[in-house]
Amino acid sequence: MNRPNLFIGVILIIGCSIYFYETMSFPSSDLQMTSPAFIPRVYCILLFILSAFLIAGSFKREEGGGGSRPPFLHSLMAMGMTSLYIIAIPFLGFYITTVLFIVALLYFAKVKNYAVLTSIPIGTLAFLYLFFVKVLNVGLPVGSLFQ
Amino acid sequence: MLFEGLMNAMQWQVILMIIIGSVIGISIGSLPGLTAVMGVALILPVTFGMDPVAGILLLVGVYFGAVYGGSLTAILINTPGTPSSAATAIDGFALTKKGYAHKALTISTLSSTIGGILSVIVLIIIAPQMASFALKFSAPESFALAVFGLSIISSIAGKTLIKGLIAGALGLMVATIGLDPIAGFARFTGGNENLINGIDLVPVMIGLFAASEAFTSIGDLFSAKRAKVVIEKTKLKWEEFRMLILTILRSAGIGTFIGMIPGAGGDITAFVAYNEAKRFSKDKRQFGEGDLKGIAAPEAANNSVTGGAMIPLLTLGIPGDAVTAVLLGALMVQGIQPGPMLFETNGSIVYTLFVGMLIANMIILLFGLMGIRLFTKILLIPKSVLMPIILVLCTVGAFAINNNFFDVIVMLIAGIIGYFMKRYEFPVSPVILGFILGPMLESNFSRSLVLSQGDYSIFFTRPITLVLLSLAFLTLFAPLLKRKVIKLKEDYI
Repeated sequence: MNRPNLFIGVILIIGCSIYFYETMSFPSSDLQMTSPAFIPRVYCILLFILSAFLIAGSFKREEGGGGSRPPFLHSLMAMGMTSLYIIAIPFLGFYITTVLFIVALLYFAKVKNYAVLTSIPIGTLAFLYLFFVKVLNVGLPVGSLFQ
Repeated sequence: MLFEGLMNAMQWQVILMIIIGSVIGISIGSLPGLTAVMGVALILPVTFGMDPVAGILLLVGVYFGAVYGGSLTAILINTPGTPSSAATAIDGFALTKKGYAHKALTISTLSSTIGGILSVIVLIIIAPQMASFALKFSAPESFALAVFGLSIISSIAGKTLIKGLIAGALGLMVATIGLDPIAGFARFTGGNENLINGIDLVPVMIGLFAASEAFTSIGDLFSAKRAKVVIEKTKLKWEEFRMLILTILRSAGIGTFIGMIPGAGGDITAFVAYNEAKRFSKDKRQFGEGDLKGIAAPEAANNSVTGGAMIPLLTLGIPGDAVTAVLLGALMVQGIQPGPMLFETNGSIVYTLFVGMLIANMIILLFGLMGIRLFTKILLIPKSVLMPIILVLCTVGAFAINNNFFDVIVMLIAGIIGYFMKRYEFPVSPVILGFILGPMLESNFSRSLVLSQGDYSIFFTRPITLVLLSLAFLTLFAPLLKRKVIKLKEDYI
C-alpha cells in the first residue's frame, strides 16, 4: 500500500469538494456552458476522477517496497526560515532581513567561515541594489519600522 | 532594399546598440522573475531620444537576449529565467546532473540562434502571406490549440501519467482564480483584492521550480549520500548535432507558426515543440532523463517565436503578445506605423530591422558560445552558499514583477507545494502548462459557444480545429494505445 498516494488522493478529493461547493454561489448564465461555474466544475470533476484513480492505485502492492525518501526535517526548517524572512520584510525592510536571512541560512548550512559569512550577504545586497534599484528602478521595501 | 538595410545595419552605432541590448537581455532573462516583457518595457524610455533604427534594435536585442537567457539558469540550476524556458529545464537540468552542463548549454545556444535566424528569414520571405493565414485563428481554433497544448502533459508527466494529469488539473484550477473571462465574475478570491486579476504566472513558476529546488538542495546538504558536482568538458560532437538538425528545423517551424498566432507565446510553443520532438523520437524513454532533443526542441521553438511574433506586428500592426505590444509602442513613438503599408512607406527601415534581427541572433550565438565556460562556473559554487542567494533572488524576482508583496507570498506557497510535489513524484511542469493554457482554453471555449449560440459542432466543423483536436486526442491516448498493442502482441507471441 502506498500511504502518501492515499493521503494525497484524499486531500485532493476534500479540496475538490470545497472547490465545487464554492461554485454553487456563482451566478448562472443564459447559456449554461458559458456561466462562470461551468469550466471550474469540469476541472473539478476531472480532478475528482483522477484522485479516485490515485487512491485506487495506492492499494496495489508496491514493487521493491516503494523506495525510501530522504528525511525532510532540514528542508522543512529552510522553509520555516524563508517564511520568517518573508514575514519580516514588511516590518524590518528588505535590506536588514536579507542580511540576517543569508547569514542564518549559511550558518544553518554549516558554513562557519567568517569571510564567507560576511562577504556573501554584502555582495548579494550590493548586486541587488545596483541591478534592481539603480538599473531597473524597482523600489525594494524599506520596512514600516523605518518609514 | 535588403542591401540598403544591410548597409544601414552595419554601422558601428547600430551594432553597439544590438550588443548592449543582447547583454542586458541575457542578464535579465537569466534572473528568475525578470521576463523579456519587463526588460523591453524598462529599456523603452531610453530609446525615445535615439535614432529609430538604433533604438528599436536595442529593444530587439533585449527581447532576443532575454528569451535565450532564460535557458541558462533552467539548464544549470533548474530555475527557468523566463516562462518560455520551463520546458528546457526538464532535460537540460537532467543533463547538468549527469555532468553534461557544457554540452547542454552548447545545444541550447545553437538551437536558440538557429531557431531565431530561421524565423527572421521566414519573416523576410513570407511575412504577409503567413500573417493572413494566422488571422484565420478565431476562438474555436485557439481553444483547440489550448487543448492540444494540454495533451502534451502525457509527454512531460514523467513516471506516472496519473500524477502528471493531476498536476495539470491543479494548474487549470488555479488558473480559474480571479475574474471569469465572459461575465467578469470574481471567482475563488475569498474577498482578497490581490486575487481579483488572478494569480501571476511568474511567482508560481519561480516558486515551483527555483524555491522548491533550493529547499530540496538544502535538505540534500544533510543527506548521507550527497551528489558530487561533476562538470564534464565533453564538447558537442558533429554526429550529435547532425542528429538534432531535423528537430531544430521542425521546432523552428512550430515556433514561427505559433508565434504568429495572437495570444499564444513562447511558453506554450516550447512545450508543443518538446512534445513533437518526443513524438518523432525513436527512443522516447530518454526524454526527461537528459535527451539532447529535449533541449534543442524547446529552445529552437521559443526563440523562433521572436520572428513569428514580428509577422503580425509588422504586416498587420497586431501585437501577438506583451513584448510585441511594447515594441508596437516603441515603433509608433519613433513615427513608424506598422501595418500593410509599412513596407511601402518605411521599406528601408523595415529591412534594416530585419538585418538587425539577424545580427542580434549572431551576437547571442557568439556571446553564448564564449560564455559557456563562465556560465558553468555557477555549478562550482557550493550549494550551501548558492541556495540562500537563490532564495533571496526568488523573493526579489517575485516582488519586482508588479512591486506587490502578495506575489512574494504566492512564490513561497508555490515553493512549498513544489517541494512536496517533487518529493512525492508529482511533476511540476504540467502545473505550469495548465496554468498557462487555462485562461486561453476557457475564454476561447466560452467565446466559441457564444459565437455558435451554444452549438458544440463549431469545434468539429472547422478544418484547423478538427486537425488540432484530433492531434490532441492522439497525443493523449497514443501512449496508452501503444502499451495495449505491445501487451496484445506479447500475449499472442
